[in-house]
Amino acid sequence: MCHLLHAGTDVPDLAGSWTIDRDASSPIDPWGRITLEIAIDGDAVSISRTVSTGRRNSTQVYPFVVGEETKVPVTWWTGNRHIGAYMGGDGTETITAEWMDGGRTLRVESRYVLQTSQGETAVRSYFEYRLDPDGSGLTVIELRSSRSTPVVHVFKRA
Amino acid sequence: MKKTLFVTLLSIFAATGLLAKPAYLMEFDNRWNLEDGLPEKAMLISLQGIVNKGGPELNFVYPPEWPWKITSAMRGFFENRHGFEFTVLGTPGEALEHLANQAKGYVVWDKDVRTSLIVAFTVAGLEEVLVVNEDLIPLVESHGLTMVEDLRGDFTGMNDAEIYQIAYDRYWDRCSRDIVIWMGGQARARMEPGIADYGIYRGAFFTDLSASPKDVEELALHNKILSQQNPQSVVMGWHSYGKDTEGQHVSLVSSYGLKMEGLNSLPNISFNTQVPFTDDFQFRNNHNVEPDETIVPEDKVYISLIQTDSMGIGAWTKPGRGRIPYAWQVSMNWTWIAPCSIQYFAEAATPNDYFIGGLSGPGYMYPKPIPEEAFWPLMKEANRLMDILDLRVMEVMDYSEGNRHVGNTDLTKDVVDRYYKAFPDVIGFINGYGSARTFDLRDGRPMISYDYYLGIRRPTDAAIADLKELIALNRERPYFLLIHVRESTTIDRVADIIDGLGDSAEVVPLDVFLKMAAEAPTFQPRYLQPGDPKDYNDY
Repeated sequence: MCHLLHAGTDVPDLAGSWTIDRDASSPIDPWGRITLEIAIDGDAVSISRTVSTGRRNSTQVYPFVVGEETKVPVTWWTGNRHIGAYMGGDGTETITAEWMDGGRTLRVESRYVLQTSQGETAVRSYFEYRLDPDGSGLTVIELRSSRSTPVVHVFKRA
Repeated sequence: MKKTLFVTLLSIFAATGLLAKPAYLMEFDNRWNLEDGLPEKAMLISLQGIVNKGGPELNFVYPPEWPWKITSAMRGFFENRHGFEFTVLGTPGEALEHLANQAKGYVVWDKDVRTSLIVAFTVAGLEEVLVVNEDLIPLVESHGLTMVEDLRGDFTGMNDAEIYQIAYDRYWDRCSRDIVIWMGGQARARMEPGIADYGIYRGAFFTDLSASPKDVEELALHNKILSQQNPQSVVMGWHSYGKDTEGQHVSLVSSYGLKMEGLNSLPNISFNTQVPFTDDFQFRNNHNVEPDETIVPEDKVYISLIQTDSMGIGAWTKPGRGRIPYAWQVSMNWTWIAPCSIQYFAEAATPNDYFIGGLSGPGYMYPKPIPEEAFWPLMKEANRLMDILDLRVMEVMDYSEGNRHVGNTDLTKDVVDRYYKAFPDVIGFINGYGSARTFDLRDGRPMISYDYYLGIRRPTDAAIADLKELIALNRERPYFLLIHVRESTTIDRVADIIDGLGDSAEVVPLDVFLKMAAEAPTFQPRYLQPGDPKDYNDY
């Protein structure tokens, strides 16, 4: 299997289209499907995340630059649609990122504010996008400061 | 002692009118495909709608897989509380042998055009005839019935807009303006027309026209039909899963100020509607607080649980009911549509079962699309029904700008103002389906949205983690955490999830929950904001 290589390295690139492997992932309900479109141009990264179920879907695009702090407008927080928590604050996520493991892992840290019935709470999500050695699979691990258990999503190339 | 018991029993029998009432009963299996099982059942359901015009005479027990779960339990209720003595019919032929003489013939639907069966249901109600496909003609003719109308070939090659326009031109003038049936739900090869007997009984027009703006011609006729129904009349059945969305359909119905009774599989209503409350029955809710009582909460997490989606399709008959406090949304129109069903639920209630009114009014409706001039008479009727049913909480749901996945299910301040004005006697309001963020408190009466939606497929561990996350995000105490439990989730599973929270949370009855929330409102008032997400269900 041939995949794009990370710039200047001999490891496969995260770039491409990814589809969730539900059986291997933490529960994704109420969504039936999650897809990622990842574009990489040097340190400029764009992650487009689409959640969908039935006829409904929602896409959020996160453009950021590795090594810099980027504010991304987010209208709709889809981290956990079962709970009463919504984008609050100024409606942005502040993102920092760095390449790790020789470019095979992308660490993304996002700081944002969630609005709940009692008001607003600052939340931090720590993501690792880990590419399988052969480049065929992508594991996204999220540690959210408000949640005691990690959320693990496993993707296959679409 | 024995004599006293005998006299008492006689008094009960007399009070409940428990004199033997003969009726017929038949059990259905779960074959509902156009080519397997549906033709015979459609014929029998049309027979039911016709014979029950003369009184409750034919009742069906639906299979365990059927969405509406209580037909088997209702049989015992009819026998024990109403004195029905059922003669069990084994086959369609046996049913015709006993009852076909009450039909005035038959209408033939076209096996090659599914929609022709829906049209045939309209004909059945107007002409009091059985619906059959050509395979069943010999059977009905062997019982002396003759053809009244033949739909074979009438709709070949036509789309649904064309078919229903023809049906409208032929039958609409004679159809009920109080009831119209949306014969939707399952699409394509399967149909679950449990509600059809009632539509036939009432002489209703049957259709499954789309409410999607993509279906321009169907939507136009859909609008035309709804616009010609009587004010506050009822749309029964359900939208077609193959055409549009729940949000689109109910938004459209609401925009005409009509009431939705949304379950295409709801069975036996032509029978149930004629079985009133027994004389010894008066609906009494299990209130835990007085309307003017105050309860001061402690600094802890309080949880209350509500199941909506109609009690008959949910966890009511499943294990665990009564184990923890639970609120159940009552379809208030059953007061007249199926009073015996209301009585069945009320008499089976445990002290932990608490009933609330909904959804949004006297039936299923969305308040945002309801024209204001229609809102007030609808809510006056809702108050009347709530008085009969001893209900003190009104639940509101609005999918006109989204659903539990996307968009919003929140209410504008104007809509909230209307509810507070329209329901001066309730102790509080509930809003949402999935989580929502409309909150208010006026005159000691809170409006609280769901903070959590417990889905059917949500694993127990994930649900516990979700609730812990909510509790972490809402740090002030007391915290009032309202949970909507999806209908088929068993109470035992819910109790296990709550147990997983340890001692940090306490489940309390909904009326206690609302009273405490009114005393210590740690939630922040909020209404739908202009910038909130919307997922448009255009209509």
